[in-house]
Amino acid sequence: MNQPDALLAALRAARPDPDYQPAPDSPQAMALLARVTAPAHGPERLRPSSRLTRRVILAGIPAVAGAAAIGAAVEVKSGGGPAHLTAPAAASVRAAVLDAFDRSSGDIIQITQTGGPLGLEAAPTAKGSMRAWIYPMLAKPGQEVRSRFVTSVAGRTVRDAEWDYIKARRRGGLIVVNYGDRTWFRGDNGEIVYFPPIGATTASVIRDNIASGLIKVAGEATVRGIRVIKLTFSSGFVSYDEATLYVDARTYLPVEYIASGRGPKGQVNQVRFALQVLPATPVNLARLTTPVPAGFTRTTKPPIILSPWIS
Amino acid sequence: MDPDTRFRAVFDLAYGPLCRYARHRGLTGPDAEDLVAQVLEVAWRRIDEVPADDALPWLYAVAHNIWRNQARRDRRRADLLVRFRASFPALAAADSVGSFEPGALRAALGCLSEADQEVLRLVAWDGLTPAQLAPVLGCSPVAARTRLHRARARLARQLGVDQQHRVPAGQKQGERPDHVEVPR
Repeated sequence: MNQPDALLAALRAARPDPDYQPAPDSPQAMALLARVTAPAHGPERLRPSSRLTRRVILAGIPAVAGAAAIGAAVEVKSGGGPAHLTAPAAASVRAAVLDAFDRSSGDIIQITQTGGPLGLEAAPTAKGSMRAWIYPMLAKPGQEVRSRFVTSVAGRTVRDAEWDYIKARRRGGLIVVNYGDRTWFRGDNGEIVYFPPIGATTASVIRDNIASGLIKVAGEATVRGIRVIKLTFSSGFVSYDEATLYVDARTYLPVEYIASGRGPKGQVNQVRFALQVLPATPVNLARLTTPVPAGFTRTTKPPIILSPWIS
Repeated sequence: MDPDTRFRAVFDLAYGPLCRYARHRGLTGPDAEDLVAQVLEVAWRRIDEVPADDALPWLYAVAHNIWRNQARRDRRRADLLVRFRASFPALAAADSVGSFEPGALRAALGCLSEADQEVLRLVAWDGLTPAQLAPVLGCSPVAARTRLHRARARLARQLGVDQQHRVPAGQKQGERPDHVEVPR
Protein backbone atom coordinates (compact mmCIF):
# COMPACT_ATOMS: atom_id res chain seq x y z
CA MET A 1 0.00 0.00 0.00
CA ASN A 2 2.98 2.26 0.54
CA GLN A 3 4.09 1.77 -3.06
CA PRO A 4 2.46 3.84 -5.77
CA ASP A 5 -0.84 2.11 -6.26
CA ALA A 6 -2.14 1.91 -9.82
CA LEU A 7 -5.67 1.10 -8.78
CA LEU A 8 -5.96 4.02 -6.38
CA ALA A 9 -4.26 6.28 -8.91
CA ALA A 10 -6.78 5.24 -11.54
CA LEU A 11 -9.60 5.75 -9.06
CA ARG A 12 -8.27 9.20 -8.29
CA ALA A 13 -8.20 10.00 -12.00
CA ALA A 14 -11.82 8.85 -12.17
CA ARG A 15 -13.02 11.32 -9.55
CA PRO A 16 -15.88 13.45 -10.75
CA ASP A 17 -15.12 16.92 -11.98
CA PRO A 18 -11.34 16.88 -11.37
CA ASP A 19 -10.96 20.49 -12.48
CA TYR A 20 -13.38 21.77 -9.86
CA GLN A 21 -11.38 24.26 -7.77
CA PRO A 22 -13.68 26.47 -5.71
CA ALA A 23 -11.82 29.55 -4.49
CA PRO A 24 -12.12 30.72 -0.89
CA ASP A 25 -12.27 34.35 -2.04
CA SER A 26 -15.07 33.83 -4.56
CA PRO A 27 -18.40 35.62 -4.05
CA GLN A 28 -20.01 32.28 -3.20
CA ALA A 29 -17.37 31.63 -0.55
CA MET A 30 -17.80 35.11 0.88
CA ALA A 31 -21.55 34.66 1.10
CA LEU A 32 -21.03 31.35 2.83
CA LEU A 33 -18.53 32.90 5.22
CA ALA A 34 -21.05 35.58 6.10
CA ARG A 35 -23.67 32.88 6.67
CA VAL A 36 -21.41 30.77 8.85
CA THR A 37 -20.22 33.63 10.98
CA ALA A 38 -23.68 35.14 11.42
CA PRO A 39 -24.34 35.94 15.08
CA ALA A 40 -26.87 33.11 15.47
CA HIS A 41 -24.14 30.58 14.69
CA GLY A 42 -21.33 32.18 16.60
CA PRO A 43 -19.81 31.00 19.84
CA GLU A 44 -21.38 32.36 23.00
CA ARG A 45 -18.24 34.29 23.77
CA LEU A 46 -18.78 36.38 20.67
CA ARG A 47 -22.43 37.18 20.99
CA PRO A 48 -22.26 40.34 23.13
CA SER A 49 -20.35 42.07 20.36
CA SER A 50 -21.20 39.82 17.47
CA ARG A 51 -21.77 42.60 14.96
CA LEU A 52 -18.38 44.07 15.75
CA THR A 53 -16.82 40.63 15.66
CA ARG A 54 -18.24 39.96 12.21
CA ARG A 55 -16.75 43.19 10.98
CA VAL A 56 -13.37 42.18 12.34
CA ILE A 57 -13.63 38.80 10.68
CA LEU A 58 -14.72 40.31 7.42
CA ALA A 59 -12.09 43.05 7.47
CA GLY A 60 -10.11 43.01 4.30
CA ILE A 61 -12.98 41.58 2.30
CA PRO A 62 -14.33 44.57 0.47
CA ALA A 63 -17.06 42.55 -1.18
CA VAL A 64 -18.71 41.78 2.14
CA ALA A 65 -19.64 44.61 4.41
CA GLY A 66 -22.35 45.07 6.97
CA ALA A 67 -25.75 46.53 6.33
CA ALA A 68 -24.77 49.84 7.85
CA ALA A 69 -22.28 50.41 5.08
CA ILE A 70 -24.92 50.21 2.40
CA GLY A 71 -26.06 53.79 2.61
CA ALA A 72 -22.61 55.05 1.82
CA ALA A 73 -21.68 52.40 -0.68
CA VAL A 74 -24.76 52.22 -2.86
CA GLU A 75 -25.56 54.92 -5.31
CA VAL A 76 -29.16 54.49 -6.31
CA LYS A 77 -30.69 57.06 -8.57
CA SER A 78 -33.84 58.57 -7.25
CA GLY A 79 -36.82 58.39 -9.55
CA GLY A 80 -36.10 54.89 -10.88
CA GLY A 81 -33.85 54.06 -13.77
CA PRO A 82 -30.76 51.91 -13.63
CA ALA A 83 -28.43 52.74 -10.82
CA HIS A 84 -24.69 53.20 -11.19
CA LEU A 85 -23.24 50.79 -8.74
CA THR A 86 -19.81 49.53 -8.11
CA ALA A 87 -19.31 45.79 -7.79
CA PRO A 88 -18.53 46.04 -4.07
CA ALA A 89 -21.78 47.94 -3.59
CA ALA A 90 -23.73 45.12 -5.21
CA ALA A 91 -21.85 42.64 -3.07
CA SER A 92 -22.63 44.72 -0.01
CA VAL A 93 -26.32 44.67 -0.84
CA ARG A 94 -26.09 40.93 -1.25
CA ALA A 95 -24.41 40.56 2.13
CA ALA A 96 -27.01 42.80 3.76
CA VAL A 97 -29.89 40.83 2.23
CA LEU A 98 -28.36 37.53 3.32
CA ASP A 99 -27.89 38.97 6.78
CA ALA A 100 -31.54 40.05 6.85
CA PHE A 101 -32.66 36.60 5.71
CA ASP A 102 -30.58 34.94 8.39
CA ARG A 103 -31.81 37.28 11.11
CA SER A 104 -35.41 36.52 10.12
CA SER A 105 -34.91 32.83 9.46
CA GLY A 106 -37.01 31.96 12.52
CA ASP A 107 -39.94 34.18 11.55
CA ILE A 108 -42.97 33.36 9.44
CA ILE A 109 -42.94 34.19 5.76
CA GLN A 110 -46.22 34.96 4.09
CA ILE A 111 -46.23 34.36 0.35
CA THR A 112 -48.95 35.39 -2.03
CA GLN A 113 -48.32 33.72 -5.35
CA THR A 114 -49.91 34.64 -8.65
CA GLY A 115 -49.05 33.44 -12.12
CA GLY A 116 -48.47 30.07 -13.67
CA PRO A 117 -46.37 27.25 -12.33
CA LEU A 118 -43.06 26.62 -14.00
CA GLY A 119 -41.71 23.34 -15.15
CA LEU A 120 -44.84 21.42 -14.29
CA GLU A 121 -46.82 19.40 -16.75
CA ALA A 122 -50.10 20.68 -15.40
CA ALA A 123 -51.62 23.68 -17.08
CA PRO A 124 -52.20 26.62 -14.77
CA THR A 125 -55.69 27.46 -13.72
CA ALA A 126 -56.59 30.87 -15.03
CA LYS A 127 -56.88 33.62 -12.47
CA GLY A 128 -55.47 31.41 -9.74
CA SER A 129 -53.57 32.53 -6.70
CA MET A 130 -52.18 30.99 -3.59
CA ARG A 131 -51.39 32.36 -0.18
CA ALA A 132 -48.94 30.43 1.92
CA TRP A 133 -47.39 30.74 5.33
CA ILE A 134 -44.16 28.94 6.15
CA TYR A 135 -42.68 28.73 9.64
CA PRO A 136 -39.81 29.01 10.15
CA MET A 137 -38.94 30.92 7.02
CA LEU A 138 -35.61 29.14 6.56
CA ALA A 139 -35.51 25.84 8.38
CA LYS A 140 -32.42 23.80 8.92
CA PRO A 141 -32.31 20.09 8.13
CA GLY A 142 -34.04 18.19 10.92
CA GLN A 143 -36.07 21.18 12.05
CA GLU A 144 -39.86 20.96 12.15
CA VAL A 145 -41.61 23.13 9.58
CA ARG A 146 -45.23 24.21 9.66
CA SER A 147 -46.83 25.39 6.46
CA ARG A 148 -50.24 26.20 5.07
CA PHE A 149 -51.33 26.81 1.50
CA VAL A 150 -54.66 28.32 0.54
CA THR A 151 -55.44 28.10 -3.17
CA SER A 152 -58.05 30.34 -4.73
CA VAL A 153 -59.52 30.55 -8.19
CA ALA A 154 -61.44 33.61 -9.28
CA GLY A 155 -61.43 34.85 -5.70
CA ARG A 156 -62.94 31.68 -4.20
CA THR A 157 -61.03 29.30 -1.99
CA VAL A 158 -60.78 25.89 -3.62
CA ARG A 159 -58.30 24.20 -1.33
CA ASP A 160 -56.77 24.80 2.08
CA ALA A 161 -53.87 22.54 3.00
CA GLU A 162 -51.69 22.35 6.09
CA TRP A 163 -48.46 20.43 5.92
CA ASP A 164 -46.18 19.95 8.90
CA TYR A 165 -42.94 18.16 8.17
CA ILE A 166 -39.32 17.76 9.09
CA LYS A 167 -36.97 19.72 6.88
CA ALA A 168 -35.07 17.53 4.40
CA ARG A 169 -37.17 14.48 5.19
CA ARG A 170 -40.12 15.62 3.15
CA ARG A 171 -42.62 13.40 4.92
CA GLY A 172 -45.08 14.72 7.39
CA GLY A 173 -48.65 15.14 8.49
CA LEU A 174 -51.05 16.73 6.06
CA ILE A 175 -54.57 18.12 6.20
CA VAL A 176 -56.27 19.00 2.95
CA VAL A 177 -59.68 20.64 2.83
CA ASN A 178 -61.31 20.61 -0.60
CA TYR A 179 -63.98 23.22 -0.91
CA GLY A 180 -65.14 21.91 -4.30
CA ASP A 181 -66.60 18.64 -3.02
CA ARG A 182 -66.72 19.70 0.67
CA THR A 183 -64.37 16.95 1.83
CA TRP A 184 -61.28 16.87 3.95
CA PHE A 185 -58.40 14.46 4.26
CA ARG A 186 -55.83 13.84 6.94
CA GLY A 187 -52.82 11.67 6.24
CA ASP A 188 -49.24 11.52 5.17
CA ASN A 189 -48.01 13.47 2.21
CA GLY A 190 -46.31 10.34 0.92
CA GLU A 191 -49.76 9.27 -0.26
CA ILE A 192 -50.03 12.29 -2.51
CA VAL A 193 -48.69 12.53 -6.00
CA TYR A 194 -47.17 15.98 -5.75
CA PHE A 195 -46.61 18.20 -2.78
CA PRO A 196 -45.66 20.84 -1.78
CA PRO A 197 -46.43 23.66 -4.16
CA ILE A 198 -43.63 25.84 -5.34
CA GLY A 199 -44.17 28.43 -2.62
CA ALA A 200 -42.83 26.13 0.05
CA THR A 201 -39.33 26.52 -1.26
CA THR A 202 -39.52 30.16 -2.27
CA ALA A 203 -37.54 31.64 0.60
CA SER A 204 -34.73 29.13 0.30
CA VAL A 205 -34.65 29.46 -3.49
CA ILE A 206 -34.37 33.22 -3.20
CA ARG A 207 -31.67 32.92 -0.59
CA ASP A 208 -29.71 30.47 -2.73
CA ASN A 209 -29.97 32.79 -5.68
CA ILE A 210 -28.64 35.67 -3.63
CA ALA A 211 -25.86 33.56 -2.18
CA SER A 212 -24.85 32.54 -5.69
CA GLY A 213 -23.39 36.02 -6.12
CA LEU A 214 -25.01 36.50 -9.50
CA ILE A 215 -27.32 39.32 -8.53
CA LYS A 216 -27.16 42.80 -9.95
CA VAL A 217 -28.53 45.90 -8.29
CA ALA A 218 -30.82 47.50 -10.84
CA GLY A 219 -32.10 50.59 -9.06
CA GLU A 220 -34.88 51.47 -6.74
CA ALA A 221 -38.64 51.38 -6.97
CA THR A 222 -41.76 51.41 -4.88
CA VAL A 223 -43.75 48.23 -4.37
CA ARG A 224 -47.00 48.32 -2.42
CA GLY A 225 -45.94 51.64 -0.95
CA ILE A 226 -42.58 50.32 0.23
CA ARG A 227 -39.33 51.81 -1.02
CA VAL A 228 -37.38 48.91 -2.40
CA ILE A 229 -34.09 48.04 -4.03
CA LYS A 230 -34.45 46.10 -7.25
CA LEU A 231 -32.16 43.11 -7.70
CA THR A 232 -31.98 41.04 -10.86
CA PHE A 233 -30.58 37.58 -11.48
CA SER A 234 -29.34 37.38 -15.01
CA SER A 235 -28.20 33.81 -15.30
CA GLY A 236 -27.09 30.78 -13.44
CA PHE A 237 -29.57 31.00 -10.62
CA VAL A 238 -31.77 28.28 -9.29
CA SER A 239 -35.10 27.24 -10.79
CA TYR A 240 -35.90 30.00 -13.25
CA ASP A 241 -34.53 31.62 -16.38
CA GLU A 242 -34.95 35.16 -15.12
CA ALA A 243 -35.84 36.61 -11.77
CA THR A 244 -36.23 39.95 -10.05
CA LEU A 245 -36.23 40.47 -6.33
CA TYR A 246 -37.34 43.62 -4.57
CA VAL A 247 -36.03 44.08 -1.05
CA ASP A 248 -37.09 46.68 1.46
CA ALA A 249 -34.53 49.49 1.24
CA ARG A 250 -34.65 49.92 5.01
CA THR A 251 -34.68 46.35 6.33
CA TYR A 252 -33.34 44.43 3.30
CA LEU A 253 -36.12 41.87 3.77
CA PRO A 254 -37.83 40.52 0.63
CA VAL A 255 -40.93 42.30 -0.59
CA GLU A 256 -41.58 40.79 -4.00
CA TYR A 257 -40.05 38.13 -6.21
CA ILE A 258 -40.88 37.72 -9.87
CA ALA A 259 -39.56 34.77 -11.81
CA SER A 260 -40.08 33.63 -15.36
CA GLY A 261 -39.13 30.57 -17.27
CA ARG A 262 -40.22 28.31 -20.06
CA GLY A 263 -42.78 25.61 -19.46
CA PRO A 264 -42.69 22.11 -20.86
CA LYS A 265 -44.18 23.26 -24.17
CA GLY A 266 -41.85 26.22 -24.49
CA GLN A 267 -44.33 28.79 -23.32
CA VAL A 268 -43.05 31.57 -21.11
CA ASN A 269 -44.60 31.54 -17.68
CA GLN A 270 -44.21 34.17 -15.04
CA VAL A 271 -44.86 33.70 -11.38
CA ARG A 272 -45.02 36.52 -8.85
CA PHE A 273 -44.57 36.17 -5.12
CA ALA A 274 -45.56 38.99 -2.80
CA LEU A 275 -43.55 38.38 0.34
CA GLN A 276 -43.95 39.54 3.89
CA VAL A 277 -42.00 38.46 6.94
CA LEU A 278 -44.18 38.15 10.02
CA PRO A 279 -42.98 37.74 13.61
CA ALA A 280 -43.87 34.42 15.21
CA THR A 281 -46.55 35.80 17.51
CA PRO A 282 -49.51 33.64 18.65
CA VAL A 283 -51.81 35.50 16.27
CA ASN A 284 -49.52 34.95 13.30
CA LEU A 285 -48.84 31.33 14.24
CA ALA A 286 -52.58 30.73 14.17
CA ARG A 287 -52.47 31.44 10.42
CA LEU A 288 -50.62 28.15 10.02
CA THR A 289 -53.66 26.08 11.02
CA THR A 290 -56.11 24.86 8.40
CA PRO A 291 -59.65 24.86 9.82
CA VAL A 292 -62.05 22.13 8.80
CA PRO A 293 -65.44 23.74 8.24
CA ALA A 294 -68.46 22.18 9.89
CA GLY A 295 -70.41 19.89 7.64
CA PHE A 296 -67.46 18.79 5.52
CA THR A 297 -67.03 15.04 5.09
CA ARG A 298 -63.82 13.30 5.93
CA THR A 299 -62.48 11.16 3.13
CA THR A 300 -59.89 8.42 3.30
CA LYS A 301 -59.09 8.69 -0.38
CA PRO A 302 -55.83 10.61 -0.73
CA PRO A 303 -56.25 13.68 -2.87
CA ILE A 304 -54.25 13.80 -6.05
CA ILE A 305 -52.57 17.17 -6.20
CA LEU A 306 -50.54 17.85 -9.28
CA SER A 307 -50.01 21.45 -8.35
CA PRO A 308 -51.79 24.01 -6.21
CA TRP A 309 -53.42 25.25 -9.38
CA ILE A 310 -55.43 22.13 -10.09
CA SER A 311 -58.72 21.94 -8.28
CA MET B 1 -3.45 33.78 17.03
CA ASP B 2 -6.91 34.94 18.07
CA PRO B 3 -9.92 32.69 17.31
CA ASP B 4 -11.31 34.88 14.54
CA THR B 5 -8.03 34.94 12.65
CA ARG B 6 -7.67 31.21 13.17
CA PHE B 7 -11.13 30.56 11.79
CA ARG B 8 -10.42 32.69 8.74
CA ALA B 9 -7.28 30.64 8.12
CA VAL B 10 -9.27 27.42 8.51
CA PHE B 11 -11.89 28.76 6.12
CA ASP B 12 -9.31 29.62 3.47
CA LEU B 13 -7.73 26.20 3.84
CA ALA B 14 -10.89 24.16 3.92
CA TYR B 15 -13.40 25.85 1.66
CA GLY B 16 -12.13 24.27 -1.56
CA PRO B 17 -11.55 20.77 -0.17
CA LEU B 18 -14.96 20.74 1.53
CA CYS B 19 -16.70 21.85 -1.66
CA ARG B 20 -14.95 19.04 -3.48
CA TYR B 21 -15.85 16.62 -0.68
CA ALA B 22 -19.50 17.50 -1.23
CA ARG B 23 -19.14 17.21 -5.00
CA HIS B 24 -17.52 13.81 -4.65
CA ARG B 25 -20.58 12.62 -2.78
CA GLY B 26 -22.98 13.76 -5.46
CA LEU B 27 -24.06 16.97 -3.74
CA THR B 28 -24.45 20.10 -5.81
CA GLY B 29 -25.98 23.56 -5.43
CA PRO B 30 -27.76 24.28 -2.15
CA ASP B 31 -27.22 20.74 -0.86
CA ALA B 32 -23.45 21.10 -1.24
CA GLU B 33 -23.51 24.58 0.23
CA ASP B 34 -25.50 23.35 3.22
CA LEU B 35 -23.01 20.61 3.96
CA VAL B 36 -20.01 22.93 3.68
CA ALA B 37 -21.75 25.55 5.81
CA GLN B 38 -22.65 23.03 8.49
CA VAL B 39 -19.08 21.78 8.72
CA LEU B 40 -17.70 25.30 8.93
CA GLU B 41 -20.30 26.28 11.50
CA VAL B 42 -19.06 23.47 13.70
CA ALA B 43 -15.50 24.67 13.19
CA TRP B 44 -16.56 28.22 13.96
CA ARG B 45 -18.21 27.18 17.22
CA ARG B 46 -15.42 24.82 18.21
CA ILE B 47 -12.42 26.60 16.76
CA ASP B 48 -10.37 25.82 19.86
CA GLU B 49 -10.71 22.09 19.11
CA VAL B 50 -9.65 22.26 15.47
CA PRO B 51 -6.09 20.91 15.23
CA ALA B 52 -3.72 23.72 14.38
CA ASP B 53 -1.25 21.57 12.48
CA ASP B 54 -3.60 19.54 10.29
CA ALA B 55 -7.19 20.75 10.31
CA LEU B 56 -8.50 18.90 7.28
CA PRO B 57 -8.93 15.42 8.77
CA TRP B 58 -10.85 16.96 11.69
CA LEU B 59 -13.11 18.81 9.26
CA TYR B 60 -13.56 15.74 7.08
CA ALA B 61 -14.60 13.81 10.18
CA VAL B 62 -17.30 16.40 10.87
CA ALA B 63 -18.38 16.34 7.22
CA HIS B 64 -18.39 12.56 7.23
CA ASN B 65 -20.68 12.45 10.27
CA ILE B 66 -23.06 15.10 8.99
CA TRP B 67 -23.34 13.51 5.57
CA ARG B 68 -23.75 10.01 6.95
CA ASN B 69 -26.41 11.04 9.46
CA GLN B 70 -28.39 12.99 6.93
CA ALA B 71 -28.29 10.16 4.46
CA ARG B 72 -29.25 7.59 7.04
CA ARG B 73 -32.19 9.59 8.29
CA ASP B 74 -33.99 10.53 5.15
CA ARG B 75 -32.97 7.99 2.53
CA ARG B 76 -31.41 10.68 0.46
CA ARG B 77 -28.42 8.50 -0.11
CA ALA B 78 -30.31 6.30 -2.52
CA ASP B 79 -31.50 9.30 -4.47
CA LEU B 80 -28.05 10.83 -4.43
CA LEU B 81 -26.51 7.66 -5.68
CA VAL B 82 -28.92 7.59 -8.59
CA ARG B 83 -28.20 11.25 -9.32
CA PHE B 84 -24.52 10.68 -8.84
CA ARG B 85 -24.40 7.79 -11.25
CA ALA B 86 -26.51 9.66 -13.76
CA SER B 87 -24.33 12.76 -13.45
CA PHE B 88 -21.11 11.06 -14.40
CA PRO B 89 -21.67 8.68 -17.26
CA ALA B 90 -18.92 6.44 -18.47
CA LEU B 91 -16.22 8.30 -20.29
CA ALA B 92 -14.73 7.41 -23.62
CA ALA B 93 -11.97 4.84 -23.73
CA ALA B 94 -9.52 7.59 -24.67
CA ASP B 95 -9.94 9.01 -21.17
CA SER B 96 -9.04 5.79 -19.48
CA VAL B 97 -6.09 5.41 -17.18
CA GLY B 98 -4.28 2.21 -17.84
CA SER B 99 -6.88 -0.42 -18.37
CA PHE B 100 -9.41 1.16 -16.01
CA GLU B 101 -12.15 3.24 -17.50
CA PRO B 102 -13.37 5.98 -15.17
CA GLY B 103 -16.96 4.93 -15.74
CA ALA B 104 -16.20 1.34 -14.89
CA LEU B 105 -14.23 2.40 -11.83
CA ARG B 106 -17.03 4.58 -10.54
CA ALA B 107 -19.57 1.87 -11.24
CA ALA B 108 -17.44 -0.69 -9.42
CA LEU B 109 -17.01 1.73 -6.53
CA GLY B 110 -20.77 2.16 -6.37
CA CYS B 111 -21.20 -1.59 -5.97
CA LEU B 112 -19.17 -1.68 -2.75
CA SER B 113 -20.56 -1.19 0.74
CA GLU B 114 -21.02 2.39 1.79
CA ALA B 115 -18.18 2.04 4.30
CA ASP B 116 -15.77 0.77 1.65
CA GLN B 117 -16.82 3.49 -0.77
CA GLU B 118 -16.19 6.16 1.82
CA VAL B 119 -12.73 4.88 2.69
CA LEU B 120 -11.74 4.83 -0.98
CA ARG B 121 -13.30 8.21 -1.74
CA LEU B 122 -11.48 9.80 1.20
CA VAL B 123 -8.12 8.54 0.02
CA ALA B 124 -8.45 8.56 -3.76
CA TRP B 125 -10.74 11.53 -4.28
CA ASP B 126 -10.26 13.72 -1.22
CA GLY B 127 -6.53 13.09 -1.02
CA LEU B 128 -6.17 11.91 2.56
CA THR B 129 -3.23 9.79 3.54
CA PRO B 130 -3.88 6.58 5.46
CA ALA B 131 -2.66 8.36 8.60
CA GLN B 132 -5.15 11.18 8.05
CA LEU B 133 -7.88 8.63 7.46
CA ALA B 134 -7.85 7.41 11.07
CA PRO B 135 -9.41 10.46 12.77
CA VAL B 136 -12.05 10.70 10.06
CA LEU B 137 -13.13 7.11 10.57
CA GLY B 138 -12.69 7.31 14.30
CA CYS B 139 -10.27 4.42 14.53
CA SER B 140 -6.55 3.78 15.00
CA PRO B 141 -4.10 4.35 12.13
CA VAL B 142 -3.50 0.62 11.93
CA ALA B 143 -7.22 -0.08 11.66
CA ALA B 144 -7.58 2.66 9.06
CA ARG B 145 -4.86 1.07 6.92
CA THR B 146 -6.52 -2.29 7.25
CA ARG B 147 -9.87 -0.90 6.20
CA LEU B 148 -8.28 0.82 3.22
CA HIS B 149 -6.47 -2.34 2.21
CA ARG B 150 -9.65 -4.41 2.40
CA ALA B 151 -11.73 -1.84 0.57
CA ARG B 152 -9.14 -1.65 -2.16
CA ALA B 153 -9.11 -5.42 -2.47
CA ARG B 154 -12.88 -5.54 -2.77
CA LEU B 155 -12.75 -2.83 -5.44
CA ALA B 156 -10.20 -4.87 -7.35
CA ARG B 157 -12.42 -7.93 -7.10
CA GLN B 158 -15.39 -5.91 -8.26
CA LEU B 159 -13.39 -4.92 -11.30
CA GLY B 160 -12.45 -8.49 -11.96
CA VAL B 161 -8.76 -8.02 -11.28
CA ASP B 162 -6.59 -9.34 -8.51
CA GLN B 163 -3.96 -7.53 -6.51
CA GLN B 164 -1.16 -8.40 -8.91
CA HIS B 165 -2.76 -8.22 -12.32
CA ARG B 166 -4.78 -5.27 -13.40
CA VAL B 167 -6.39 -6.85 -16.43
CA PRO B 168 -8.40 -10.01 -15.95
CA ALA B 169 -7.62 -13.03 -18.00
CA GLY B 170 -9.39 -13.09 -21.33
CA GLN B 171 -9.99 -9.36 -21.36
CA LYS B 172 -8.15 -6.92 -23.58
CA GLN B 173 -6.85 -3.65 -22.24
CA GLY B 174 -9.52 -0.97 -22.25
CA GLU B 175 -12.33 -3.49 -22.33
CA ARG B 176 -14.96 -3.21 -19.65
CA PRO B 177 -15.39 -6.11 -17.27
CA ASP B 178 -18.65 -7.77 -18.23
CA HIS B 179 -20.10 -7.97 -14.79
CA VAL B 180 -19.69 -4.31 -13.95
CA GLU B 181 -22.77 -2.29 -14.65
CA VAL B 182 -21.62 0.95 -16.16
CA PRO B 183 -24.00 3.85 -15.62
CA ARG B 184 -25.42 5.42 -18.74
